[in-house]
Amino acid sequence: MSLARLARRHFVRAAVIAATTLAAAPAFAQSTWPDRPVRLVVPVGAGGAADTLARNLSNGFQQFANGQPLIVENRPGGGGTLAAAAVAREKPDGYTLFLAEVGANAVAHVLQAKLPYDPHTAFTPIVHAANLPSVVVMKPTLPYKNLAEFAADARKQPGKFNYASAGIGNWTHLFMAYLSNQAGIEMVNVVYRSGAEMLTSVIRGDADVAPITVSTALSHIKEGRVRSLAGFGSKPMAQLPDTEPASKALPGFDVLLWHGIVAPAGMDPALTARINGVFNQVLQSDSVRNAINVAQAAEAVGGSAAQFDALIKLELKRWPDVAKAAGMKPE
Amino acid sequence: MDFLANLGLGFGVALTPANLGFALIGCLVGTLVGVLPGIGPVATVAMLLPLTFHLEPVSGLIMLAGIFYGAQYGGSTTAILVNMPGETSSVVTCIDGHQMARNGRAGAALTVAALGSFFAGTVATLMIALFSPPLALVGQSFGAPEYFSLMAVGLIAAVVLAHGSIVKAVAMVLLGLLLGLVGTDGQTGGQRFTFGVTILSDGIGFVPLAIGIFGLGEVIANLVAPQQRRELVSSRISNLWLTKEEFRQAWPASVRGTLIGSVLGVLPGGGATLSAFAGYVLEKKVARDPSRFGKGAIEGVAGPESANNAGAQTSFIPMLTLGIPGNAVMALMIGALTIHGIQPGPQVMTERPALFWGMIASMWIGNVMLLVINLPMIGLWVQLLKVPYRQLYLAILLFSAIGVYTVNNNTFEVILTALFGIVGYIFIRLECEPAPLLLGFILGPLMEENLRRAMRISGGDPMIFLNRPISLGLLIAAALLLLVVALPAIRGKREEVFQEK
Repeated sequence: MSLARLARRHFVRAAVIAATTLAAAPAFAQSTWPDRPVRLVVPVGAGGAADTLARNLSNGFQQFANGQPLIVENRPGGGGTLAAAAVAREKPDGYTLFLAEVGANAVAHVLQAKLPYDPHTAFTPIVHAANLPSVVVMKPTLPYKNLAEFAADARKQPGKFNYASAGIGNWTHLFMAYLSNQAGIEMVNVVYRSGAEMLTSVIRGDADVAPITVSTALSHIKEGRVRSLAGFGSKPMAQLPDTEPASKALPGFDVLLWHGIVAPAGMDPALTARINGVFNQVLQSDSVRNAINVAQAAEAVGGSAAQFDALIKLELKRWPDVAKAAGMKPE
Repeated sequence: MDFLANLGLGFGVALTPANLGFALIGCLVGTLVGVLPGIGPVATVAMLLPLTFHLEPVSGLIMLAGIFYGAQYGGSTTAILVNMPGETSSVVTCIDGHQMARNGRAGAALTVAALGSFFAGTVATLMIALFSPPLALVGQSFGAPEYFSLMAVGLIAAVVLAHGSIVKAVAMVLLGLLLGLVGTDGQTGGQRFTFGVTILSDGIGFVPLAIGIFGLGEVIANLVAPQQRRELVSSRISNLWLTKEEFRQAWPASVRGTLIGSVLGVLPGGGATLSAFAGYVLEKKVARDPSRFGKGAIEGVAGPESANNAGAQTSFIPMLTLGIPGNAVMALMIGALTIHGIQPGPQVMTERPALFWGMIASMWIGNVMLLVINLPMIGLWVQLLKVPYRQLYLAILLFSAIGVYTVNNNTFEVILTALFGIVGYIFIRLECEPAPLLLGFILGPLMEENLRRAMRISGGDPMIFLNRPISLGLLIAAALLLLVVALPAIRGKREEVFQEK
């Protein structure tokens, strides 16, 4: 046997092995994923609603995932785009997941000139994990009882009222820009560093209104330190039965502060389905459901990967227009 | 007596063997985290958070709290021994603490830091128990205009931090302000000096800057220096305990530091760090002979160390009474409470008195533990100085790199730290003090942010700074301070000139 033939035989054998391994890989992956710890990259710092959500998911993950843990890795920065860009560069092997939200996944590409990834194509959507109900709160010294009253007065005095937000392009900014746009009012945006700072500024009376998650604001609303003017979602909220949805004053208004799991683009559909299945089990387990729905005053969602994909696609249509209408430019 | 009954309830909870154990674990981990440069309580608490899900809420909180204030004790150790701020709040401890170590008084510096911290911790815990609600109101009454005016006081005070040339001090403050400008302009989203580097859009981190300029700069300087200078520290270790004279100088400083720290700690955002700076400035101002500062004045350790511990303790007040986190660690604790199904807020005090008072009682117990852990360890720590520097510095570099990395899980910041190390060495050669730079770096962005916030709130009317009483008072204080700083500085320069002759 000549050396060349030997080499060729080796090559052929290697190729056959490689081919069969590749073909078998998806089936292998879906039955055994995960066989090592899974990383969930969270685009915000530790503490706060999105981080708590990630930790709640991580808490219930192990029992449905071959005993493997879900490790929460906080990578704050760049309005969430730092973490998103890092995840987009990873392999879609199911071991690096990302906690997606409106900023990095639906609007960052119109706010940042040199975004290293394209939210339309960089990720494989996996599951819509939860919505964090959020409300517009107002300082209690203002006389308005609901959004319609407030909007009516604000329309007459453009620029008189200010709202607190947590940064340009942050959901707090986008939601208020959208609300102002829909209500035809003009307000001054005052930027703070966190939801906690925003809330204090409303309590103190420096800010007139602010968008805040129900879990952060609930006790302050109940104690009367701030008044909840309207809910951003169109559904009534169990924790705040007296708060009307914004759609009462602005028909059709419905925005969700959604969070979900995505993976790098190009994931094998069988693996996507397997991960989706695990997270649906996690979301349906009593302890996680309770932690999210009751303790966090949020709404666990779940559902198929296709549903989440559709939601992100809708959001990718809505927010860039809102951002442009509000005069936000790429930096 | 309601108060005594509440405290009794609290100690009943805190003194159970399990909770004592968790307090001890928290204090030990906290001390370790404090000693290691860069690795801060935020990263540690975030890592340990999942552990607390399986504990009783009060046990989990006791442990996490122990980590937080334990780090304040530990932070001073690295600052004194190797001139490396173990925590952001121990930056000023480097100034005189490390000089004391160079003078052979490392033991005394560590002792006074531990005793001062304990005293401050005890007083601050009492203040939390007695005055939580009114103190929380003080914190809340600080809006954007008040912050701006407070920062104005702080910036002027920054000049006092430096010993030696006032021109250099002002230059360093300005350089700090410039470095603080890097990042995203909060109100418009515009990028400043970020050169397309995404991580810079959040600004330069405090940890890379402080570790680089203070710690690594010192490492380079030590390695460049001849062997004898390097080993000087180890050859001159004397008595570990305080002399009578030192004790007489230290205790009033500790009392003043505690008071200032207790008040500033309540303010949201960096209470402990701000307290430490304020404590140092105050000591230097009230001292009969300010020229001793920067050369190993014990008040320069006792004041800020008491202030930062008091500040760390009282920063719990907004979290405990209002459910509003003043800093990242508090935000994590609120997260922990939420996961346990406890809605943080004022009702915690009334609905879950065992949790509230148990936590307060555990803070005092934790402070006792920290004293017991730290005092006997001092001898051990001082022995560390006998390790040959060519071995010690490797450990310092390694832990710094790990610490910096854990802040944001980002390698760019490690590289940044190395660059700042070189800058720090240049500063040492130029005899420029890094402390005013760091203060300018912290205060500058806060000042700008709050100025613009205030102007937006008022609709562009600058009178907002004069119409609000607290803000007005602070601005008057700033003006007075400017006079006080300017006069002796001009005279002080002459004295220095005479000294040289």
